[in-house]
Amino acid sequence: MKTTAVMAMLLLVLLAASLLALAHGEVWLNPLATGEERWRDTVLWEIRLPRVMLAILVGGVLGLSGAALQGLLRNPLADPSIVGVSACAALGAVIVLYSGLASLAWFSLPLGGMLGAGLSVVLVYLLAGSRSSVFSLILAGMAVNAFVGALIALVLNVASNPFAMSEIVYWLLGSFANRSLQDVMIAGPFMLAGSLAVLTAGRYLDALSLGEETATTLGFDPQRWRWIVVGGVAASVGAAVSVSGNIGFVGLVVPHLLRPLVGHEPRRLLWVSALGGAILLVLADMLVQAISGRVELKLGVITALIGGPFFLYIIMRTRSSEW
Amino acid sequence: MRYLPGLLACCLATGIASGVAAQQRIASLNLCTDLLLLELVPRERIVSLSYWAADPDLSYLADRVGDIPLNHSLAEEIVPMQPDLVLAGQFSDIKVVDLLRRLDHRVEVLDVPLTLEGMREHILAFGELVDAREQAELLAAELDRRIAQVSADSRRLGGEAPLAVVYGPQGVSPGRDTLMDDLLTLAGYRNLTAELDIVSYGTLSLEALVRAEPDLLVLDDLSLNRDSVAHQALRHPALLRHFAPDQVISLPPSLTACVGRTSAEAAEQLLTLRVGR
Repeated sequence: MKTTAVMAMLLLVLLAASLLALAHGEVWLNPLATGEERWRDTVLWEIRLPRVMLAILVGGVLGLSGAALQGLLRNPLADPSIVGVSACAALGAVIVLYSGLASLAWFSLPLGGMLGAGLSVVLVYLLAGSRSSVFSLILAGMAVNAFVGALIALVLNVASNPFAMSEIVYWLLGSFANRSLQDVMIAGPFMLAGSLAVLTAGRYLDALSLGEETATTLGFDPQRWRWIVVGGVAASVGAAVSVSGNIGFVGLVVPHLLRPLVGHEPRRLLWVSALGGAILLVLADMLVQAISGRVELKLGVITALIGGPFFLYIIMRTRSSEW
Repeated sequence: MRYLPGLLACCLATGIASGVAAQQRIASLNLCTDLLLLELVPRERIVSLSYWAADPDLSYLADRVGDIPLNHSLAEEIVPMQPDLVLAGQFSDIKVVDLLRRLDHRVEVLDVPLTLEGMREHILAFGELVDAREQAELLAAELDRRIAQVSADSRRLGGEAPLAVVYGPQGVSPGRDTLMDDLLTLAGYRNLTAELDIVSYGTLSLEALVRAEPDLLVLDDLSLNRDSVAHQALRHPALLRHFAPDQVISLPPSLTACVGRTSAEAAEQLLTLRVGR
């Protein structure tokens, strides 16, 4: 299938899913009709719209980052949550939020997330490089996730927040509940800017898939492009996690599902993975609201239910191939 | 100088015959028993209070705690003080209660009332226990009078009962059989959460809250102003924009943390609010 056709199709699905997500909630509301009662407008545009917008943005960022990391590290299991980037972003955001630094400036919360993410992307790259085995990357990610998870719990405990327990769960599993347009506004610009940086690197990732030397002979400055991808992923994932917590597996599942549709060139995969990630999270967020009891389930539960088995499947397939 | 008897009692208790020693020395592990102790008993007889008692966000008597040693429900904090009586609540850590009893301490686990029902009996029984019968009777009589007054004024006000909802961090809201429900009813409001058939505490989504269009939104915990995701829901623009400023009030948690003097205070405030609109 042609990439543009796939993109057009995904865009249509995303549009339909978004409208459905606006309409769906505790009661059905028609987002296209104008209502009489004031509560309809508040529910639609102040409560549901920010959720849908964040699901699109965060899903897009995570799908895109997964595709980009898989291309950059040439590793089919790379994903911001698996290699520990999301957890570090959460730690950065946690430190900023619970120390009260978040009220210093409008951008301090996403900045905390981005600093955490940046630190971990560099760490992962140094640990794994572009030649590491598939599994050493996963193991490093596991260690980072465990360590950072403990640090998050520690910071929340020191902050002596009465809601520490449930907030640990929020940061480790992620949720769009009770997010507002304010969150879209403070994190959106960084998510978009980071994603644009990653998208410009498509041709470099194409060249890189033929090998590092080939990429260099094709005229790409590897040093420069590597930093563009790493910086873009850190900025977008850091900002995304700072307003939604750590929603796992999106960057792993989406590129793998879409690769058969667009082929193996990373460049084509970047755009469609962004759209696919957005669709996945819009649908997952709807599902989470539909199946939850009185206390809303965290979004990461749904993505892990999908992503976990998928992860195992990829590992098994990977083991039987040359990796 | 005011603290001298307390210090003496605390440090030299074993060495002093009759006089001071004859007075029962009490430690408390629970915020609500802390507050009643401070209300009814001279402070020199209090050897320890829970650390919540000194937190002004939760304790309306925080400034009266002074140098009374604070505990964190640990036996090793209590035992060296050798209190004659240790007070705990029904939600206190059962392990520390067991341990103190095994170490031959007298520990009373009180059923601290969670609603206005039983408040009177609780205060009187408490006074009996801590040897402050008169003070307890005075307090119970005062609260009876103030609550009856609110009830009478509210009935005189008449009119349709406004719909109110109490909303806390994480969307937690008190329904039927809670102190807040009693206070709202007393002041002549309908409690949205109780009408949604939620018993005790439940969570309300922002959607459900906005859809119900309550007349009064009582935000719980805002005065704490603690930075957390749980508190972000209370500052959601949907709430701030949907409700007019005079529809939103915030009750400090110290007013609702325990059944007692603050309950009358809270009921009076809620009633005043109804009169004002």
